[in-house]
Amino acid sequence: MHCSMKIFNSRSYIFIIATLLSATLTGCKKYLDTALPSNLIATQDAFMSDNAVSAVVTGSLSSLTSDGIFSGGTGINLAYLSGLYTDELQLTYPANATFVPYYTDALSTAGVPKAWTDMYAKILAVNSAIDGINSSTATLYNKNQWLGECYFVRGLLYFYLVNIYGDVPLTLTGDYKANNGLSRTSTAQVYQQIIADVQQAQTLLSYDYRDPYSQTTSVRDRPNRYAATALLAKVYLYTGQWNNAEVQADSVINNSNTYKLLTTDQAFSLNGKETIWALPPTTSSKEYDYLMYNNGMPAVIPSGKTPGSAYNMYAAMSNSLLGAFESTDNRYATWARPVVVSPTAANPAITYYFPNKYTSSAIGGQNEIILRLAEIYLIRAEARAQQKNISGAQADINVIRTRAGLPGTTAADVTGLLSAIAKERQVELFTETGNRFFDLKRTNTIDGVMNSAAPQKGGTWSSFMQLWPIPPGDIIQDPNIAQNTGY
Amino acid sequence: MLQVDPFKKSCKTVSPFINPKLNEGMQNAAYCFGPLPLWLRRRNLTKTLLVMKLTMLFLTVGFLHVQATGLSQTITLAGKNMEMKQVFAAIKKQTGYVVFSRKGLLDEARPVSVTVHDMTLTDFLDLIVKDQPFTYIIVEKTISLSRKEAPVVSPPSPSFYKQKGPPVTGHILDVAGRPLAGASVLAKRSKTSTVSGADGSFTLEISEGEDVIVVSYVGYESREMKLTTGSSSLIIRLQQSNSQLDQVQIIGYGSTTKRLNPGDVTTITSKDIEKSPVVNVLEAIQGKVPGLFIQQTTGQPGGAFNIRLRGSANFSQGAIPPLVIVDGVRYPAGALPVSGSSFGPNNFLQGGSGLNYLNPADIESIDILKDADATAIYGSAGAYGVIIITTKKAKAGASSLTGNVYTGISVNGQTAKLMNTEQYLMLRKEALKNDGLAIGASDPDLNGTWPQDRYNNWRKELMGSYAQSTNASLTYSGGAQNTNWLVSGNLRSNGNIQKHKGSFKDGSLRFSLNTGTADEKFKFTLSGNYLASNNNMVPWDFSNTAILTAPNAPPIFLPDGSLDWSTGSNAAGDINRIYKNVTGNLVANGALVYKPIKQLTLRTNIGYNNISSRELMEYPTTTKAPTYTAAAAETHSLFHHYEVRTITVSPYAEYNTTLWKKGVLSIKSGGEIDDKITNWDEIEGIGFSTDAMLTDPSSGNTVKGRYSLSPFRSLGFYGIIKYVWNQKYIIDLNGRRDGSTKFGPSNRFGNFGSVAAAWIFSEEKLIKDHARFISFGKLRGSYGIVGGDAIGDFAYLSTWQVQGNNYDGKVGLKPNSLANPSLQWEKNKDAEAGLEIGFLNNRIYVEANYYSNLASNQLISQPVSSVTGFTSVSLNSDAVIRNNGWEMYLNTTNVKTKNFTWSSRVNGTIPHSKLLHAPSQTQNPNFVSGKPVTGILLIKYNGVNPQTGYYNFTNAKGVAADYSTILPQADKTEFIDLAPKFYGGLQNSFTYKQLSVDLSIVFTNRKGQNFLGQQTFAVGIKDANSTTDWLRRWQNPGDQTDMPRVSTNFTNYFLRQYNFVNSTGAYSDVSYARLQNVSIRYRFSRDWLQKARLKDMSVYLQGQNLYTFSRYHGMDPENLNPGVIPPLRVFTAGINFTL
Repeated sequence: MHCSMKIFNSRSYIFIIATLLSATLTGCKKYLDTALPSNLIATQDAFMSDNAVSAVVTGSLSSLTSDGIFSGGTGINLAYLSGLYTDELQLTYPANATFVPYYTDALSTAGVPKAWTDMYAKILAVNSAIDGINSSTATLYNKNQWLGECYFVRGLLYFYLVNIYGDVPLTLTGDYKANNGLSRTSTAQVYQQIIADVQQAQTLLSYDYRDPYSQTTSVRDRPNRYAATALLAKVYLYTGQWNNAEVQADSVINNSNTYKLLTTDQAFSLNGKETIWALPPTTSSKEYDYLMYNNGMPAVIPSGKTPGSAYNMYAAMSNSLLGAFESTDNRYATWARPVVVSPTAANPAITYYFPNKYTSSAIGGQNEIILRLAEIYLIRAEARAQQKNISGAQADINVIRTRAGLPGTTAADVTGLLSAIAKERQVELFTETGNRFFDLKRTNTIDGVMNSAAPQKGGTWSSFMQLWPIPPGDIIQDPNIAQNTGY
Repeated sequence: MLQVDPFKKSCKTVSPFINPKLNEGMQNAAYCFGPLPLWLRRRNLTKTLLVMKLTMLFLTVGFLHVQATGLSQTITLAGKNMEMKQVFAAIKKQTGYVVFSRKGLLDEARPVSVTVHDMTLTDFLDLIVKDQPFTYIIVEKTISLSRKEAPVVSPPSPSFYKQKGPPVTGHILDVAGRPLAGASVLAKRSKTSTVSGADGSFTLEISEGEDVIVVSYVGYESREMKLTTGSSSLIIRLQQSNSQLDQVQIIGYGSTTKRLNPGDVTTITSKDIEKSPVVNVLEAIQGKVPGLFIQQTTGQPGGAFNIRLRGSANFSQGAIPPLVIVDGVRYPAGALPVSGSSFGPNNFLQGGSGLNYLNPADIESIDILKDADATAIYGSAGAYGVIIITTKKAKAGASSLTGNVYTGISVNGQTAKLMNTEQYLMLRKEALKNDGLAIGASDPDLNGTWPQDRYNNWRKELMGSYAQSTNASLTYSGGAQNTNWLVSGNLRSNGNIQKHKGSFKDGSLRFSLNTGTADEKFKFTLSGNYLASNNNMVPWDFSNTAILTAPNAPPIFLPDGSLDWSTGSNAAGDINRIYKNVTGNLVANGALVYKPIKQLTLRTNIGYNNISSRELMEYPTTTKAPTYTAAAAETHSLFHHYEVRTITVSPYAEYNTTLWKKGVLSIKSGGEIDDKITNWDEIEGIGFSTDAMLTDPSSGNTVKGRYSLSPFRSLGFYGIIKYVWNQKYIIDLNGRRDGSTKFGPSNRFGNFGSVAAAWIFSEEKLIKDHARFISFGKLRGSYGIVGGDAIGDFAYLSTWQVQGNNYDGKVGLKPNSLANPSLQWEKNKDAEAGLEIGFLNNRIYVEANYYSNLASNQLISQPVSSVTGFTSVSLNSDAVIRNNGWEMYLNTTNVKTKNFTWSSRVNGTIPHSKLLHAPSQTQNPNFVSGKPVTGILLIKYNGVNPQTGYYNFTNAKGVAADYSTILPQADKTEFIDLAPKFYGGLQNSFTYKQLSVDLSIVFTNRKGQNFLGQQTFAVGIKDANSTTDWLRRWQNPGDQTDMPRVSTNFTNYFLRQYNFVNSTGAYSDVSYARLQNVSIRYRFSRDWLQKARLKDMSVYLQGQNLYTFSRYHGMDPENLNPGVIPPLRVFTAGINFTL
């Protein structure tokens, strides 16, 4: 019977082992090819269709509103913090540790502004998107829109970076190895890149507003060619290229079918004609300025309470801002909201004025306007004044003043016009995207203004404070980056 | 008993049991390999290979198909005086079963006459072999024949032939009457030996006349007895050994004993665990295992633990916890994917721990595997140590019903003493005075708004005083023949010590079943444990609120206990949150064991674990002031569901044989497949029409949903070769090839292995003859390379993730992380040398280990400049870290008399870590070459300046000043190591007659951040209360003190404090010793029990965390966090009985 041993002879033994081993090993390699976590998409798949690329680019736009300097986070919102930092806002609850360093102009490396880290994260997303779109093997039908939006966002972010921090490292790819040891690039060079990016956006984007599926829409959430043009005008203004600024502003203002000044109470309406580009709040949220300055706080507050302690409203318009309005200014009537704290036996009534540009308590009722026509008029006014076009400048200023219910400007020379424009910008553009802070800096008036404003807030001003400190961790990780002087 | 070996070709001896040449080996071997040393038979290499062939076959074909084949096959046959060959041919024809046998065996067969119709194959075979000289066994579709009896001895030993008497026969049983298979029986004078069979029976030929036989069995005390030739039907009962050396240790894919383990494993058994009335078993083993550092991060039941085995092999933030295996499945012992929302239990439970969902009462033993020899076999997963938890399994024995009930209370642990109103106000006034300020409108605590004689002890008001806990369990177990079972149920309830009540309750049901064929060739074990827990404690820890509220602030509660909103705000609004967490945990394990021949074991272990949870978090309007108009719009309800599912399948084959006379060789080979899925989903609703609708988050005005599913897989193949020669020399080789989904396809697999050797020198003649006081001595050493993969999943792959919100009607994507495709395995080179020595019959037993581990190619989350878009990237660092240390263990029986015993156990660990080569990629300032990786660089603090009252620091240039601006990183010149310098524990056990008392003390010597160092704001501003240490504050020039002046100035209370927090002043010696556990137990006497008709009963008192000895009084020196509930003190009383 030992013939039955045959099944265990050595040849078949080797055969069995070999078959099993090869089957096992192949199976193993396959076994380890697991699916990605449900919320992840491999980069190679993210650029394979217009729909996917649209999601990537939409993500970059969306990140501008979900967090960062334009978002509703009071700890990072640029308009809010720079308003406290300069002379626009007053702190209504002095014990708040987040805002005290801004308000008293006492920023330190212990709690640096988050804007730096936040904006570089957004720049990485845009850079990676540009890398991905350019190297995609798929046919992208709306490639121009996607690339144009990316260049627009990158230009925008670098514009804010240089204005907050001065010289900054310039990252143009998604490769971290290339980006991790960069030195700071001079402000002038960064501006060159910003101009190149925004010009490219201008060429690539369409004249009409588009939606995420590249269909024409009335919603002004995604930048179009005019948004890029408006941004370019602002960049030229900031870099003193007056003629270029005027030319770009012209092309926006001349498109009067699309863009038109509205009455002050309508200026911030949803997708209104004054809007060139606006950011919607996140899906479930109200407009950010409404949340930061209003949020249903009653016009009369019981005695013994403050807007800060009882309603988490920590910032109201400062006395110097309120004082800058002429008495019959429509804007004062519509854009400043009084809130009265009832008097007590010991204390008289106190009235706070809160920014009131955004008044809709409805979710999706208003969007945060980043670029609007009024600013473009003021850009052109300034560009014209700098080029000694007195009447042209006066005309632009008066467009704004007329809308505010005010008589024409009396300024008739360059100096007078420039200061009239500065004043007009202060009351027109208050608590909008850090304009006041940047205007004071680019017109070299900041030290003068702040030397008197800072002590009133309990701080002292030094010229180095024009630039904010950068995260100390980055200086440790990248020895080529030096901290801004003074910090 | 069947003796079948189909693979035998030439050897004429069928039964090995009386081969005298094997005597010694067998006896020794009885110690070696667990309870089943039946395989101890001489084999040549060919057979080994043949066996391995079968191994492969069975591994792949799967065991499930093996056991029952043949039972349904039937035979119909009739004939007279048929040749066996004819009969077998018929069987083959009718059933497909082939028969083979040893050459010539069938020639001895007798012809058979049968008439059967549809008879099952086995019945038929039983019938026809009845009068044959052979018997059979069925393996797969093969019927193997072998000789029934083995009367022939070859080659016969001379002494054996001389004076052979009638054989001795008997049974070897344990105390419970269960047969002990594989026990070794040695006749001293005759020099013969045998091993007991599956039913415990043995037959031993001895020389004529008297002899002494020695019966021994692993884990049992040996017995010697005199007897004479022909003694029959002996019943020999063995007592379970109390010697630690013979304690079974569970190791990677098998078990061994402490005695014969060349690796470093510490075993804690249920005896120790049940002394502690704890929720999480980690509390019970704290301080009992050298090299295992356990830190409880919150006293709240259900909270988290930090565990670290042997220092910091990896310098990622936080310790990488060891691999925890519960009943064969990789268990999620760390934090669970609970809701990350601020409404969830994050702050409350500090992340929680998966081990909270395993009742300590269900645990039989915990084995902690430390050195390379023990852990290398787990490949990557074992790189940071391995903890194997084995739950209670069915055991043989008469049926019994055991109950255990205890109840008790928990009270607050050690906290800092806070200032009262008078003290707080005195400092507040002083602060304003120091700043030259008047009391203003924003100082309600001082300006008369709040009465200055009002004192609220917030800690008492919010944190409560005690919580009740109850624990009850009932176990029914028993066994008959080859089947044993166990069914048990547990109920636990732990109250909430905080003001808001609610409790953490759970109930669990477990069963365990093991069974097998009568011949023990096939065994099957199955166990399952399901625990359902219900936690409705409001997930909010009020520790911080209790500190950071002015003591004269308005009362939080009205007399009826509800919140007082009369002032318009209330710091305890969160008390009105609603939280419900229902968590279920299923741990199931099945093992199939098949032993086709004695030397070979084929085994497949399947472990399954599923922890799933439903959390409902409600944030009603009552958390806000009734006057707050936006309260309804801000109501919030969140439903979070998660599931962590792990499957571990590990098949292996083990082959054991004797090799070179006195040697025992064991070869094991197998694989392990792990599949883990972590899944959570969430529905969030914001703004509800009424609080009553919060129970349905989808009915909110705004509804959001979230979903996440992350898979993880790993795969490993391993081989183990262990050789034990003459019970003296042990060599152990382990090898493993591992694949992990954490790396890219080209770096996915890694090879790891270890080698270990041990020398039991007490077995040497020299020691035996001349140093008999040394009862046991072992020197051992191990070296191995293990790979770690402790990095996030898919860090190698560039990915985009979904962005939460939708923009313009579309959901966007954002980059997930900085990808690093070149990520690969960490390399840990672990070496260890150990000495184990026992004196005076092991009454004094000492163990000392030295280990030195070199970790390189570390996977770390490397900080990078945020200019890259992220602040860190995963990479293999070129840093090299050395972890070394001493671990010591001493066990003594100090007194042992008839009525009184006192024994002690001490263990201590002295760990070191050193960064041999700092990472070059970029600099983490706290990684200093030549320093430990667990340390931190700090500013040099010089104390409070007696002239100014401000903190004084020395900067990097050596300039001492009262810096009021933030000092940069470059000014941090001092290095402090935060890892423990040493830690350990001391246990004493006293037994007097029926009474036993156990005391356990744990101790840790370390530095930690002190209370002042954890204060972001110094004292002076409103609501910043603190410890009474502040009464020592600086007041006037010339004051020598350690507390600064108080101030309301931002520079003083924040910026100067910021420098202090980053200075050496923020760190103190927080060493402590703690009376961790006291257990007093009275066991009723046998007489009393008999009268009461009980098998056993005892009553006990237990206490946990009873007293802390520390020079540091600022807060609990263990969790070191004043903002979190410290470990609680627990007092319980209980009763345990067996019917």
